[in-house]
Amino acid sequence: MNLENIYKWAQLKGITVVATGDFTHPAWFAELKEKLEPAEPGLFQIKKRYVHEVEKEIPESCRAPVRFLLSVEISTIYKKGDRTRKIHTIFLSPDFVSAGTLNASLQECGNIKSDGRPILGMDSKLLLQMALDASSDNTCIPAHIWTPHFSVLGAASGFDSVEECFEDLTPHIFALETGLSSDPPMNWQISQLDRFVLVSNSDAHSPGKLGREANIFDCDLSYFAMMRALKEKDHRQFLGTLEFFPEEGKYHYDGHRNCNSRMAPEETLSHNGDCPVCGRKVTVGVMHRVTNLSDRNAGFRPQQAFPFHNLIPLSEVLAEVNSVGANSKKVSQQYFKLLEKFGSEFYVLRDCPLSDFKQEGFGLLAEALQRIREGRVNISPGYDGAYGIIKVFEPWEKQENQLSLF
Amino acid sequence: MTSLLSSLNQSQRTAVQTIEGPLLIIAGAGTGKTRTLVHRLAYLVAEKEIPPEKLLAITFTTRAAEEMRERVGGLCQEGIDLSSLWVGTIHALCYQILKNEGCAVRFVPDFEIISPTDQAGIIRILAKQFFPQQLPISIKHYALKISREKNELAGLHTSPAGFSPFCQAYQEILERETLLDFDDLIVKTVLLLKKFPDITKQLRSRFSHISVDEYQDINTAQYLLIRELAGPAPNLCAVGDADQAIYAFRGAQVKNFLNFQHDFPQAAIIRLEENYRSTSTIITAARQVIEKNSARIDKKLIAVKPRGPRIELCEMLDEREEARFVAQEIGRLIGGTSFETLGPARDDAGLPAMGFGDIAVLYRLHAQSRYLKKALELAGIPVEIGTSLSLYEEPEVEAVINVLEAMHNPENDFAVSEILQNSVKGIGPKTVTLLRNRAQELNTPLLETIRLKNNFTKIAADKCAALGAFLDMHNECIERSSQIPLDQLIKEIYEKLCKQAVQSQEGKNNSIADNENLLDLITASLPFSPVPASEGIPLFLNKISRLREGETYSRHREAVTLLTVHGAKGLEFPAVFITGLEDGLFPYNANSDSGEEADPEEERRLFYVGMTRAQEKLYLTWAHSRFLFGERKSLPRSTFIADIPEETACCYIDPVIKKRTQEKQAKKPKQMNLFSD
Ligand SMILES: [Zn+2]
Ligand SMILES: [Zn+2]
Repeated sequence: MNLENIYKWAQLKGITVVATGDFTHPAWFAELKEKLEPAEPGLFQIKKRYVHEVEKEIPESCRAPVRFLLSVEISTIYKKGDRTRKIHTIFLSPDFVSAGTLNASLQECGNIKSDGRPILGMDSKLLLQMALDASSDNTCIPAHIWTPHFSVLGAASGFDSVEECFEDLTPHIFALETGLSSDPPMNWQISQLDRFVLVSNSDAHSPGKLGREANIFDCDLSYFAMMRALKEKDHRQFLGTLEFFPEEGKYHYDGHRNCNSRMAPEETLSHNGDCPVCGRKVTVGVMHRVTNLSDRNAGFRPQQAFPFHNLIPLSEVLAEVNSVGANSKKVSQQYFKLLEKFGSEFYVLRDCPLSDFKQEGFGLLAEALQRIREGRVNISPGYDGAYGIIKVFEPWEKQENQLSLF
Repeated sequence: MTSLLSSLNQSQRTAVQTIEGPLLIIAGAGTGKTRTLVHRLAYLVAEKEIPPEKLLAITFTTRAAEEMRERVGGLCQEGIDLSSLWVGTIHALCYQILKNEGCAVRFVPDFEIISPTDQAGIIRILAKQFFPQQLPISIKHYALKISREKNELAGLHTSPAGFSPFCQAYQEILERETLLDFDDLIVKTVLLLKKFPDITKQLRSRFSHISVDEYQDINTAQYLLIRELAGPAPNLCAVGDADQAIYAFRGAQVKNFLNFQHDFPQAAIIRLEENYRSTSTIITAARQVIEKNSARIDKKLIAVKPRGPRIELCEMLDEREEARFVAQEIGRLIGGTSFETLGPARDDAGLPAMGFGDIAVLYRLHAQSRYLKKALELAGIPVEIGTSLSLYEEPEVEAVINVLEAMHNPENDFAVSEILQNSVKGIGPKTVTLLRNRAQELNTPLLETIRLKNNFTKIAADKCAALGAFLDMHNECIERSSQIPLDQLIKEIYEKLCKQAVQSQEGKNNSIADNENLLDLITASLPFSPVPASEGIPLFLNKISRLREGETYSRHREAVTLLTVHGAKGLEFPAVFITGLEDGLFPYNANSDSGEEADPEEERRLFYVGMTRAQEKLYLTWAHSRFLFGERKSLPRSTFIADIPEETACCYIDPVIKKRTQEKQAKKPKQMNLFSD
């Protein structure tokens, strides 16, 4: 990933503010410093001279300003209360000094030069303290809070509450990332989370995966305005999140991938937590963990809750409509054709009138998008590292549709 | 009283309560030796009401002393003042005796302890003089030579007459400067006590009870000192384990331990045999290994813990595969360090959850650590390595900092001469000395002296040019410092230094992107980079001096410990890797030219010490070939491996080896066909 590519894909996807990721990595930090320039408060834009080439690859219909926000996700692995904890946290910085000062402190504790997410053998609370010492404008957001192995509430190596992890520094945390494997309604079952605002990020490792999840703001274009909207839970300035279907996440249900056994939490309980195939303890998924920590019934909606919308990436919709792979040439051709004709991916998925598609001969796609917008899809939940499968059509439906083409 | 003794087992309790006469506590690995000693001291003070100032407890390290004092305090009731309790290393004790009694009778002048850097400096000069033809041997080697010579002669000579000329020359320099090194502390104290019986008498009556920890690792001089202090019928408690004697190369004599009964025929002997540290699997194997030695006091070691997982014997292709394997296994012990490394657990059920701090990777020689460290860091595993330089001691980082120091304070002669000597082409120590002398004559700072060109009269033209280039660099840096931030200035300084460097070290890449230390230095400067460098420099230098004093976040971190087996003495870890188990490496077979002779029994004891560091899980790895000291060598598997009982072990073969053997086998039939055709 380079900045030019992120710049391009942000526009294709319809993202205005995109996080840089990895600002602790010295080489990437140097590249950010070189290629970005300050724009609105706390945000950056890419210098013109770096985007002449890539600009040509962006359809007229998608072109829009892009702002960058300095960010990094850090992994801590440490022992607390005689258990090994593994927590991922996201840090956001409004400027290079706030970010750089954090880098300087982190370097004293370990190696931040290796590629990939830096792993530090230190307490998450101390990490938060360091980030705040570096600058009180730094923001800390616990990442994908429900993944079993690497999150603050994860079943395998997390805590039972956010407070247990961050102790007296917990008040500095105002947002939690739901992650690909949970959506707001799952979090609403747990009253201790009411005081946090739920945000969603794509956790993208390649530009094409940007915008798998996203946050919708209607505020001034500035780091500080965005953080204020979250902190103050301002329903006029923060409009909620775009969500992956959580069932598609790799750790939704319980089970063993190698044994092909997938179970809902209730089923797991009836098997005493053991895999019916091999008899060993199953990998417990997000739903199970949510059920364990919940003090409310499914379906409860707190008053303060923000709205959300489920999404399926356009390439996956096209793959299903065409009965081909999501990485196939056909999907990619159609993807860019749609973007050129109508606008960015978010616009196509969420806002573009369905009649427009029909007029242009995308009838089946229009049907698919309508079902997705209404939340009518078939779901086989993911488990133990295997992605879940979301289908818009029943197998027989497509056969019929294809037949009807002739 | 009951509470003080109730947490001890039978033999520990007996040891604590045996307070009259000589006592030898034979304490196997992990049998609660320190615990027993601590309880014994507390018992003497709290139960037997012996005044704390009458107790002398000698420990092996300062850290052990601190820990012991703290733990004794924890056991005694509040209100008991332990400040007069004497707990410390033998060196600390001798320092006190010499400073007080030794100086009073003018046996020694008012001395100071030589600093390690000064000592290295003296040895470097003398080694060049005395052994001009064998220079590449390390300073450490010569320091050891001196140390051994002194200790062995401790009891026999009152003057340096018996020393080798090299050692004698060294000793003369120290005496001229009224400096003592660590060995002198002990040797001189022994001589003092021999020469002044009154002092000896006074000390013997002051300390009614003496305990000595790690008795197996004391050398001749230390032994003589303890005998002097203890006298003929002492309340002397010696604790140790002959099987863990690993300091012969420093002159330690395990025979001192084995001879205790001979020295004190009336001595009571108590064996601590219950091991609380390791699984019975590890103990069974360790026992098998050590029983092959002959110079030992036979004793049992009984594991209290259950069996636990087997010991893994791991056969690797080379040092890279070995390092990769260690990294992978650490990931597995932690339960995966990232989504990518999450995998189904291998079956050592029952292992407790581990953090990085629970794991140690051991090796026989420091040189082995380099590759291991790299591989672990590449895998994102935090590593703690005892001997590594701090960032600010790395030569290229020091060079940049010296330039900043000189910019900040032009009168910092130390920084200026360091730059000249190390970073300016054509300038050597001679020229620097010349300039410094000149500066002293003129009573001006060094930098100012260089600036006045007429001071160059005695200096060759090419050197004048080099000095001119240095001044230009300095001036340019000052000018730039008001225009650019610190992180950028550091980059520019480094580039300038590379241009000026004596020789850009071969194979070393001067590009910043590839120089990890420089990248680290730039990162460290980021907090001071929002302002022009001229303002950032003083803040940054201040921060560095605080970091050098140890004020860093790093003390809070958990990391995998990398250290030599020697360095692991007295430590314990839930999981331990012992790497490089090849004949010649471990057991180490020092080549003849280094002058150290290998003692196979000591190597075996060292391996035993390594094994018994592990609480739950032990890995033993070896490689078919290894790159070490500039060459690739293929050594046979260590003889120690064959001593691990089959029922305690399981084998793991590097998949790369498996693949190669398969390929070889696949080729064979073809060749057969060729012949049969
Ligand atoms: Zn993460
Ligand atoms: Zn299973």
